Amino acid sequence: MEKLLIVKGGKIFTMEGAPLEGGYLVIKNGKIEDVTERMEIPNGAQVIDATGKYIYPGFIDIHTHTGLWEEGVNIEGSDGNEATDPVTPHVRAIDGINFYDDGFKEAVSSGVTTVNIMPGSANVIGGQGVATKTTGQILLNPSGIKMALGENPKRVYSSQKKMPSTRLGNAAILRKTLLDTLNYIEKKKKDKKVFDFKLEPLVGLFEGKYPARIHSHREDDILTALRIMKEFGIKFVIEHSTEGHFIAEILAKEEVPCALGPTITTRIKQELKFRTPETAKVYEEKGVLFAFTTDFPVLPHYGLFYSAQIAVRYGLSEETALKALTINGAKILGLDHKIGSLKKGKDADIVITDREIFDPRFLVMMTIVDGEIAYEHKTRDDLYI
Amino acid sequence: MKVIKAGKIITLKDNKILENRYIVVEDGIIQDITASKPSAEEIIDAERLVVIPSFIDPATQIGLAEEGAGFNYYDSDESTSPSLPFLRSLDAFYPKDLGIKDAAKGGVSYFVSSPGDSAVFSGLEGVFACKGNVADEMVRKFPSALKLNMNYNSRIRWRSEGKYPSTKMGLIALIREKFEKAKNYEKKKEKERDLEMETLLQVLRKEIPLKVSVNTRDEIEKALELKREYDVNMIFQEAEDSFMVADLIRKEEIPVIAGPYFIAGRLYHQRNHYVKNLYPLYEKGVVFALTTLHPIVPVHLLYHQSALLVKVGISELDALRAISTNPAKILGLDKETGTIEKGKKANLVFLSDEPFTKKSDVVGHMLEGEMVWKNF
Repeated sequence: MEKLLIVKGGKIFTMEGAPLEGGYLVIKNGKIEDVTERMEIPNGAQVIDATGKYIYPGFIDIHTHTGLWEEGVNIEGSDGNEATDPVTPHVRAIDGINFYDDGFKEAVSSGVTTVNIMPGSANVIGGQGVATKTTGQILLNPSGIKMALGENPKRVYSSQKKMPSTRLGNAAILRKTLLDTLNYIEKKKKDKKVFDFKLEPLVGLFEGKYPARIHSHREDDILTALRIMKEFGIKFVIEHSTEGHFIAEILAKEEVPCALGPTITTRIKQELKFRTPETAKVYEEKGVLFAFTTDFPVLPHYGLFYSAQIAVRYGLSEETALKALTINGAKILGLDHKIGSLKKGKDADIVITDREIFDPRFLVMMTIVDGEIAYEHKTRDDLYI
Repeated sequence: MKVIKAGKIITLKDNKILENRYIVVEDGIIQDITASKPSAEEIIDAERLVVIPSFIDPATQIGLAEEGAGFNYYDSDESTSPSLPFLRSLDAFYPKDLGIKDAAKGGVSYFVSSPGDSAVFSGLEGVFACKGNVADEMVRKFPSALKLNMNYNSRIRWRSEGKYPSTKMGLIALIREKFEKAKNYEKKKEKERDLEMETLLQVLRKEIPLKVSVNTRDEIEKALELKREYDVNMIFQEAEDSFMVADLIRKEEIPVIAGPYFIAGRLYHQRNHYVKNLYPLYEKGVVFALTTLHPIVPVHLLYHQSALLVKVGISELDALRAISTNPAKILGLDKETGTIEKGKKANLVFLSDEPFTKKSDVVGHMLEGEMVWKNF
C-alpha cells in the first residue's frame, strides 16, 4: 500500500511563488505529491498537524566538511585535508566521511537536509566533493573538484618549503595541472590504454560534468579564478567569496555563482579583512546567484540561519535570504530539479519550525528527509545547540 | 547633561520594565529615571527603541590577537614557558584592533583582554572599554584576574615539545609547586623582588581571582580541590562539563564563563560544548556569563549568541543578564554597571525592537554617557 504523509496547516514557504497559509503538503513515496489549499484527507494517511507553525523546504549548505572533521574527536577524526601534495584531484571526500558523526545529527536537527561536502583548502586542487542528504543518501558524486587560492595553500606549503609559497605559485600550479589534463586528454584520444589516476577526475571539468569549486576570499583571488577558468572554459563556483562585494558587477556579468560565508567569523586571516555582513545585500542588488554556507565545522550548521538573520539586518531582503538557504543552493549544485523547493515531484525534504527562521529564537520542530521523519523535537536533550 | 527619551527600558534590576521614561545622564552617570520631561541641552530620541544595559564580554583577546592582519601579528600567546603569570595584556594592547570598533557597534561596552592559553599561568587580564585612543585610556580595571590554564590546550602544548608539564599530574604539580614557592616567598623577611612570586601572591592574598580555563569534569573537580587547598577566588572559563557538578560549583560560589557557541569542530575534551548544558547551571543558580572568546567568535555577536540561551529554555531576561548583569558581577563591576538604575554608569544599548525578535538589533550604544555607536 502506498504511504501517504500529510502536513496540514501552518505557513508553507514553497519557494515557488508566495507562501501558502494553512494548506496541505502531501508526501507520497518520499516525494512531494501535492501542495494544495484544500483536500479531503484519505483514510490511512499519516497527518502531521503543523497549525501555527512554519514549513520550509529542507535547507541546503553547499560548502561543508561535515564528517570529514568529526565532532568531539581530535586528530583521529581530522580528515579534511590531504596536505601532503598541493595537487590531489584523485582524493574523494566520500571516502573520508564518517556518516555516523554528530555533525550530521546536528545538521538534521537544525533543518539542514542537504550538504555539499568537500575536502579542505590546504591544496590548490584538493579533491572531489560529494553532495549528500544529511541522513546519508548520496545525491552527486563527484559534485565538483575543490580548488583553493589565497592564503591557505601558501601557508601550508611554504611551511613545508614547497611550491606554492606565493599566490603566483597557486596560480601556476593550477594552470599547469589543467594544461597537463588537456595533454592527457589528447594522449587518451590516441591511445586508449593511457590512464592517469590523478588527472582522470579533472577530465570531467573539461566535459562540463561538474564544476570547479574554488576557495577564494580576496578580490584578487576571485579574479584569478575567473581568469584561469575562462582560459580553460571550465564552469566554476566561487567558494566563500568574502570580498565579492567589491566585484559584484563582474560576478553578475560573468554569471559566476557564489557560496557566501561563513560571514559571521572574525577576520582571523588577512584575507578576511574586508569580511562584512553586507556582501549578501550587494549580491542581491547586483544580481549575483549566491547561497549561504557555514563551512562547517567553522560554524555549526545552525550558523546558516544566523548568517541569514544578520544579513537581513544589514539590508538583504527576507525573500532572497530564503532563496540563499534553499533553491539557490540547489541551483548551484545543479540539483534544483530534485531539491530546494516544495513542488510536486521533488524530494520530500521538509522542515517545520515553531517561529519564522528569521526570528533568532526559532526551533526546528521536525525535519523530514525523503518523506521520512528524521528528527522531531521533544525535549531540550534532543537539541544539538 | 543629556536626556534619553526611552520608549521602553529593560532595567534588569529585579524584573523592572519601564515605559516612556527619561533617563538623565550627567558625568557619565545615570542621575535619574523619570516620567516627567526634564529640561536638557541634548535629548536623544529613543521613543521607538528598547533600552537595555550594555554588554560585557568577560573573556576575549581583543587588542592582542589583532584582526585582519594575519596570524603573524598575533600577540596573544607567549608560548615559551609554562609559568608566565607576570605577563600583562595591558602591555601588548593594540588600540586600533578592528575588534574594538566591532565591540562598540555590537553594544559591548567592556571586554576582558586575556593573554594566551599555552602557559599554565599565562598572565594578567584586564578590563577594557571600547572608548579612548590609547590602551591606558581604555583600561578600566587592571589586573582583573590571573589566567590559569588547567585545560587540555596547555599541557598538550608542552607535551608536543617534550617539556614539563605534559600530563595532568604534571600540571597540578606545577601549580602546587608555584603556590608553595609563593607562600615561602611571602614568609621571607629579606627578599629580592620577583615578578612571578609577586603575581602569585596577589592571588593567594585574594586581591585578584584566578580565571581558570577547564574543560572536563576531572579538571573541574581538581580545580575545586585547589581552591579549597589554597583558599583562592576562582572564575571558571569554558568549563563544558560543569553541568555534571553544578551543585558543587554553586556551593563554592564559582561563576562560570561559558561559550563561545557559534562554532563547531569540538575536540574530544570539548565534546559537551552545547548551550543546552548551561541549563542545569541555570536551574541550580550558578552565576554564568557568555563569552565570544573573540577572535574565536566576533565580539559583536555576543547579543546574537545570547538568543541561543532562549532556545534552550532560559528566560529572555536571564539571557540578557548573561551578557550584562552577570559578567559585571563576575568582574566585580556590579556596583557601577550591569543594570539600568540611578547612580550607575550610563552604559546602555538601544535595540531597534524587543529583544530577540527578528528585527531586533543594536542600533545605538552609550558608554559612560557617550554615544559610541548611533544608527537611529
